[in-house]
Amino acid sequence: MFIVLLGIVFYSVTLRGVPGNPKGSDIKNNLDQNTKPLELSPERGRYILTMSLAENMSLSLTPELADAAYPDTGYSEGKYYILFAPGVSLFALPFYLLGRSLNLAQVATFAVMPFFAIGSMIVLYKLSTNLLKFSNSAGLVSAITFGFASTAWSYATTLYQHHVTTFFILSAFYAVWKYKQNLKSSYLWAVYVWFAYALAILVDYPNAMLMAPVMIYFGLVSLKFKNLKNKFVFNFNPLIIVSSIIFLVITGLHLYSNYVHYGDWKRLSNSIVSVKTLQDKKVLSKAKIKSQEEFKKIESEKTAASFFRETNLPRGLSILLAGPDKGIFLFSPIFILAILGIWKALKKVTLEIGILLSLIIVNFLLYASFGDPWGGWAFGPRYLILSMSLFALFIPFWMDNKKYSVLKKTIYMILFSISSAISLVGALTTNAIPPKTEAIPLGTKYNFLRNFDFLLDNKSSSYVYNTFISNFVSLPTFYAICLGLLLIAACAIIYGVPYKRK
Amino acid sequence: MELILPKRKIQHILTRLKGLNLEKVVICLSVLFSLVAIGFFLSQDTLIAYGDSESHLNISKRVIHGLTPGFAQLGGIWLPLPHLLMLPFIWNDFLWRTGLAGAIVSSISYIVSGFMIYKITEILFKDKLVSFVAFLVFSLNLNILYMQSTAMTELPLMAFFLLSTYFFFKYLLKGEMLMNLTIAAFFAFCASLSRYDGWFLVLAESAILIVHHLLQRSKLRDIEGRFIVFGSVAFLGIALWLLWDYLILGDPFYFTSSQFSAKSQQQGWLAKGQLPTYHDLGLSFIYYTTTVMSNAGIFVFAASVIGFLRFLFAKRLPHIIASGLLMVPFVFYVLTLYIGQSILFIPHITPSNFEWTLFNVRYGTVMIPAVAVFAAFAFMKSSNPVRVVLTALFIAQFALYPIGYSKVISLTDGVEGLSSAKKVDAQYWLAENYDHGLLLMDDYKRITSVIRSRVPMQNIIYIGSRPYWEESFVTPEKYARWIILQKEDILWEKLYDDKVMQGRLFKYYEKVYTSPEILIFKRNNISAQLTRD
Repeated sequence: MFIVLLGIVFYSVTLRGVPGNPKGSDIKNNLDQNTKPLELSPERGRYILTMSLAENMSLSLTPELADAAYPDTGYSEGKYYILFAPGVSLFALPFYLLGRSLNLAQVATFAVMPFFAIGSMIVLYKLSTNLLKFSNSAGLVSAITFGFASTAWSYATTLYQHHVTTFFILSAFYAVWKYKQNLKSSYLWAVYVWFAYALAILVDYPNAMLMAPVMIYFGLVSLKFKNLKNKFVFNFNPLIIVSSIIFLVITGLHLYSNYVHYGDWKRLSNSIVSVKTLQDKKVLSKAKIKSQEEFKKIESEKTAASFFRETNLPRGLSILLAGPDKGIFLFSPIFILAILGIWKALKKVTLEIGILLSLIIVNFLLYASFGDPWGGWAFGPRYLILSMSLFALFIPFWMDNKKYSVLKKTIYMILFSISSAISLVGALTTNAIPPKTEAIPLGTKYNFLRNFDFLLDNKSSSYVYNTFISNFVSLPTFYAICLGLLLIAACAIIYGVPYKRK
Repeated sequence: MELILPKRKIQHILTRLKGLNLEKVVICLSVLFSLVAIGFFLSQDTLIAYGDSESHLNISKRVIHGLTPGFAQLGGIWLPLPHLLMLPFIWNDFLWRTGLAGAIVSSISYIVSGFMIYKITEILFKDKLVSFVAFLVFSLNLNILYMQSTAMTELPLMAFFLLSTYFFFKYLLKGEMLMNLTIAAFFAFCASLSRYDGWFLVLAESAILIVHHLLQRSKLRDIEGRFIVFGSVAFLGIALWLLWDYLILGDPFYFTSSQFSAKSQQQGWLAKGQLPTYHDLGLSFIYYTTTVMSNAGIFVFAASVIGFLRFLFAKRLPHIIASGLLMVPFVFYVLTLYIGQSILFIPHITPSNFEWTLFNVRYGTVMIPAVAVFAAFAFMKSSNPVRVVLTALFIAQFALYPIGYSKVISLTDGVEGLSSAKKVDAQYWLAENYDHGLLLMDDYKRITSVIRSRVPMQNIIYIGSRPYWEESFVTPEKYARWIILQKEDILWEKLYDDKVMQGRLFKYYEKVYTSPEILIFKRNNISAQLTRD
């Protein structure tokens, strides 16, 4: 309840938005500006797809919407499409429809994300208390660290794929663990794992890889080995096969949709040719392809796998770990405690801990290998939001010691204060932070210092602040009040609730 | 679904498996992997992809089949042992031209290396299964499988390095028998005559020997005696090579000071500002670590790093000191990159505005034995479920190549990097049009391949064919029926840039092939007439 309450309060006041039901023509040079809700192409593209689904009941975009979504638009079979997987937009659709009737279509659409973020915090709490056998306060520590002391906050109030991904992966992991207990409801948990896997892929294609450790865990726990008196018995739980029907159905529909829209069931939305490429190569003009041969050549060169390369790895790792523009420990120094926690957890590696660590490793390796590890213009290392949730889970390992407990709690609180101060400034202002390489020629700052400039200029993206509060208090004051309340809540958890491992 | 296996049957199988001689299995698998790899790369025409591999084959060939054969053809830059090891096979033109003569040496070295990794791991961890894992990690590494199929010197070095290490470990960890120390010294001697990395091995073993005995509180006289036993054999290779360079080339340090040395070549890169690791220890470390990672494969590398860290914390000091030997290549390459003796470009971190971004990445393969041993240690220290995950990752590593995520980087360097042999049209033209007679060419630039041109080695006049070479600068028509001039090579400078010699060249020769980089001349009728007169 406490997590839900905190989530509702803090995510509501930082939810990005403007009143009204924006049209396609309202986006360009208006809602796509800094501190506006559609400031960057990932949320803009997904929101436009939701609009298209709601208004035109179509995955393909009208020229006006395609123009508004540029440069993340693709071209296939004579139509324009968004280059992102459609999952997030589909989840947001009911919210959009509800919001439209209240003249709050954009705000309501974005409100889908806090549900997933709060959901992830609850799963983290459950994992910490049930699976890792930590106390309730440790569970709360994990939940609030992820929710409010990491840059994940900035993405819980807009329309990105990361929180949905994190929620499905964490909940699927928890479901496998429940399935492993062999309860009466095991079949439901098994169905949920496949369901989550299918939806995670629908949300973002790399999730097929990102979630692989969970699926391996699922496979491993389905195998049982018994050493009896005269025989060895290998038991394979057929539920894993039977329950996969749900995955096959959803993924089958997904692939069929690819076939219908892009002419090939294997062609994913992120591997259709982008309009920008076609325009740069002068193959597309006024929605018409000039040379089919050239188009086919460009189309065949682009595959989903070609985005990831081992050669990007060293640069990607250095940017994500220690980059001055995206380094995870710079934006959220609290995760230094997670490293200490992992070190402690390594002393007794159970299968579950091994899988959790594998998820972190796969997340880092995958996105460090990505051609754009910065995630374009973004606040903090947005591709590491899954790892942030898992890091949060390891912090209690470090705190789980009666010795120096007050000192450890104090260190935690200091780091929590710094990290949440950074996260909140991002959530209240903008995600449009350029990578260092782009920021220097533009003469702008390339990390959270840029957000503080916006804060001091009273420029906020928060719907609640801009609509109801800005006339009464300045943005820095509002920021200070929010941060103060958050720190009081954190102090109550850290110092007020007894910390004891079960 | 249930699978029931009667214990008796399983125990019977287990007993038979336990009775299985894993050492024989290791050798049989190594032979199988080696043959399959050689067959595959032969079918892909990549056995002599590296420019250096052809040079190694040619050096060996000239010892027995050149215009002026003899051991002096071994030269004074590259160490001689790999070339000497090719001699039993290189006489055969088929084995020479296909590169199989070198592949056989590398292949035998690969089999020996795999076996020694198994034995070394067994000494360190006393677990046959873990030793077998180390063997598999090494022998199934695709970069190693390529390097064992080509006439390069990495695998021979690796074999001697591992043989020496094995006996050195036996000496340190199993009772200090002098025989083991002497054998270790002998293989260190062989390593020091294979690649310069071997010299560092000799130094490292000497240092470890002294530290080990100091820690054992041995008497000073005892330490001195053992050092002499070891050093008199191990350092002999280095001494012989210095002597050879002095006797043959007049400078004991010819290998490092001549215009053909690696150091001289590196000066060119330094002048262009493209030697990033020079006097930058951090970057040297990053470059070499990345190269090892790329050669090992990211999952295997990650497992080995974890294994290495756990090893440092888990093992006793003598084991840690001993296993420091496995890290010798790492220290060697980081240092040589730092001092500018080596050069390495890897696309992961080399700036894209450099002329080349892929060069010499095969240096990373020398660390694969250490990677295999430490990855096996990570496996050993894991619980059964984690072992399953590690095995899955090991298999997944192979999937990264066909999907284009990773490349078999040492092969790629040979095919499209700066290490690759040029495949110019002139060599194919020559293969079709060469009839008979001596051919004058400077093969240091390696633009035209002797092997692919199909000219017999006995008919080549090159820098090592004295006195033919020097006399040809003045009267080229005296010996050569064919002359190949390659832009910027010494013959181009002497015979083409010099207008008097150019006149002579056109008097006696006819230009029969022209490309922007290469000119081929054939002796004309006037010259033939004069020769008859």
